[in-house]
Amino acid sequence: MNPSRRPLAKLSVFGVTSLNIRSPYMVLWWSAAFPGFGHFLLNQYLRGTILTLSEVIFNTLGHINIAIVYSLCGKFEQAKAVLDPRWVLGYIIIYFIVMWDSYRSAVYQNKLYHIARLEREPLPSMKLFASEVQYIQPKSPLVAAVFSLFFPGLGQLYNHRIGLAFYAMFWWWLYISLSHAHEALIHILTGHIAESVTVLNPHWLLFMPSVIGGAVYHAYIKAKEHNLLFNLEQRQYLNNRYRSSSVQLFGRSGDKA
Amino acid sequence: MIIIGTFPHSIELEYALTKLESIGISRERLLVVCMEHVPREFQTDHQKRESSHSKGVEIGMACATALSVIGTSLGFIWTWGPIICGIIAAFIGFCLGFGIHAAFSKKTRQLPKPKADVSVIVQCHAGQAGEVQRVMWANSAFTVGLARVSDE
Repeated sequence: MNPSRRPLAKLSVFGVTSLNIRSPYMVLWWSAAFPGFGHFLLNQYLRGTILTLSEVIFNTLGHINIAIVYSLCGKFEQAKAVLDPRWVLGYIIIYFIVMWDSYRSAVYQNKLYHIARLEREPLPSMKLFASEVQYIQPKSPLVAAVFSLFFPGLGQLYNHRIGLAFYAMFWWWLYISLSHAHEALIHILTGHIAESVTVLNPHWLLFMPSVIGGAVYHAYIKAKEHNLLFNLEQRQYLNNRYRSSSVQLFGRSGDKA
Repeated sequence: MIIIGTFPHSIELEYALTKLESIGISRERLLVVCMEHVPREFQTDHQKRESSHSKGVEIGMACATALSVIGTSLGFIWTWGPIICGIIAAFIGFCLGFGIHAAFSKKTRQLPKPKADVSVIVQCHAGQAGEVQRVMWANSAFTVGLARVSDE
């Protein structure tokens, strides 16, 4: 198989990387929810990973999440006091440029997708590596979403996207422990509502809704991508392999057995 | 004999075809037709029409995340606390997003879900017909039909 100029999909140790139709607005929104998530949706995993790291670091340094909590609770004076001016301006600039960059990339990748579909380059179906087996398999989007809802990263594991899966699981463990979210959950379940609030750390807790939402969404659409690629690849294979059929439904069969 | 089976796209279909070849049906005696679910002339150049339902889920997830961040923050001053408020807000957000999308999306007639992706037509001797049908049924065929046309 020659390397194609506009391939639609590639299998690597880390899973399937492919072009797909994405709504640029959804990509923009997920970049807003958590800088880097838009790039994950576009299969730009390396820059997505570095952007998410940068988000956590500079949000923490600038106390952005705490300021969001204070602002939404109406405590504007405390919000102003807690923000660290050394980091805030740079944070805002990066935040918006990253959103814009993901939007622009989504628009361009949609165009690449249309060309790749028309060029019909051979699609991969499976690959063996020394340390991994990777293949495109029909997946249930619902199962993927539910896995990530229970623990972000598990839906990615289900979709064979192993690098992101373990990255997400590692971070979820950190969020759980730094925000004390599961402790608070146990307090709630045992009826200690007051303790459940005091034990929480707002800074780390506020990362969690975006991360869980993004992980569920990513798992859901990637499962659908697997299904589409599986169908396309199988069609390619069948059309190619059974091209020389001599079956004649009417009249004399061309090939007497 | 002509035997026709319809299948979904699946790994079982590939198994069925290799199995048929291994029991002595030569590749030339197999005709494999990939079925379209939308007439070619309706296939637009742009986005493949996605099911309205799945678009609603996407918008629902986006709204759930947004409201959940707000709910979690407000939970620090509301009685029920950030976790419960966050979860409730996420749930409300999902319902809002999904509901608003459902209300405003054009009511398109729901076509019956297309099933058969691939039709496999096999030309074989009468003696092989039973085995061919068995292989098809055993590998997730939706329907299998037999035409008793003499081939010999």
